[in-house]
Amino acid sequence: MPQIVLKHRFGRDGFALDVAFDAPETGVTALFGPSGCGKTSVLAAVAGLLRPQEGRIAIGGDVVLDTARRIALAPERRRCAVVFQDARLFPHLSVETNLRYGLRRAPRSAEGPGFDEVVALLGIAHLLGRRPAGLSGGERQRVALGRALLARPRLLLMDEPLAALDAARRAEVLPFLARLRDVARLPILYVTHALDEVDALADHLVLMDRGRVLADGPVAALAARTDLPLAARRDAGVLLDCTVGEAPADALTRLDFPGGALLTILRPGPPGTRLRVRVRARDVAVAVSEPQGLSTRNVLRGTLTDIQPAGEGQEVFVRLAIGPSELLARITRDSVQRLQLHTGMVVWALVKAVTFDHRMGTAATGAAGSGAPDALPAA
Amino acid sequence: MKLSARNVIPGTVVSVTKGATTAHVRIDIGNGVTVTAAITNEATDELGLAPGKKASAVIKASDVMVGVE
Repeated sequence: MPQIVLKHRFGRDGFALDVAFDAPETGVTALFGPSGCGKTSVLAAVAGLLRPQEGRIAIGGDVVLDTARRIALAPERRRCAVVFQDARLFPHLSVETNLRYGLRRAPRSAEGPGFDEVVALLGIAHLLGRRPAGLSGGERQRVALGRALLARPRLLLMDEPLAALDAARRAEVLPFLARLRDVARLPILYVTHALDEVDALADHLVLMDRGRVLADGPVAALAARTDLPLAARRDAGVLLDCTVGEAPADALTRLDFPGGALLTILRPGPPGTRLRVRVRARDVAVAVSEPQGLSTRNVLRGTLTDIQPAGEGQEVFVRLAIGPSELLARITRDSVQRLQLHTGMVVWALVKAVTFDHRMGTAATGAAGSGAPDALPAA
Repeated sequence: MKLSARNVIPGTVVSVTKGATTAHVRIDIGNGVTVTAAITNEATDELGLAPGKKASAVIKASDVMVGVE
């Protein structure tokens, strides 16, 4: 698994980077944090574009950097492929030649998907004869992903690959990134400051702030914590790995998750489609008896396991166990008193079916490395 | 009803407009003030919501925004 330990100070009193984390062998590890937190510098150091003052980086069991032993492999010998915000394709070459450039960089012994497979994976067969100038931003980025993959790297590095695209183009490229993740069987380090990309793609999350790692672990585990800056966001809440149970044409879709189900107006796909759903804590209310005569579609029986302050104000996070799954509800302290909420109590979590329209992953990621590509859209 | 939602405002349904999956229900809460709810079509049927019916708007305090003139 990629192991990364870095220490670097920019200038004598400048920004200090001090990070250490391991990334899983396959799947997406997201480096997430505000602008200027150092996540792109981490990527640059892994790629070999920044030489840190101290550090050790291992990829696929090989040490590519170890300052203590004066090892520092040149970027081209690290076998990392990088995808940037802008596609950086060769403007004078066709899409096909751009892609074959990637393939030429692959060592003979390297294994990986072939040219036709990559072209099909990214849905770019109809673009092969064109020049980059004739492509949309989303198409260019798909070609850049293909070129990176064809170099058969041991590690894919992505530096905000969707940040330069408008919302429609992002939505177009995101499913292809999910496919790539499921097919590539590679570790991917993915820098972003967009939480919906983390939700949709990442298995593992490295949360960064001011040059340091605040926390790292499985995405869903970090999302469910109330002591991280993630909890201060408006969209704070748990992530549930769901499978479409029922999707009748004329009624609500049922999303099954371990311990329960949610009805939603979303239409993610036919039964069996897997997706990760963010249930915002703000969208969850709590009842101490089973409510009657309420329009809310989702009434989930559970146990209250924890009450934690939500910031400085009058609100708290209430943690609810629904079978083996968890929900967070953000409610007022006043409600905690009025309803005499306490841990161990049986409660009902209320979630409106119309509330899921703002956040959902495009493809399933389930457990890290499970990689079943069954939630993919048709190319 | 023992709910965490802080605001339970009684009123009378003025209109129910169904969409593809979501219905918009307008509730008159007095003095000509209406509150609009976005709920599922199924919920409107189940609760028998129709103009003239008594119903309450339930709003989480964290969902209320404040504007001043």
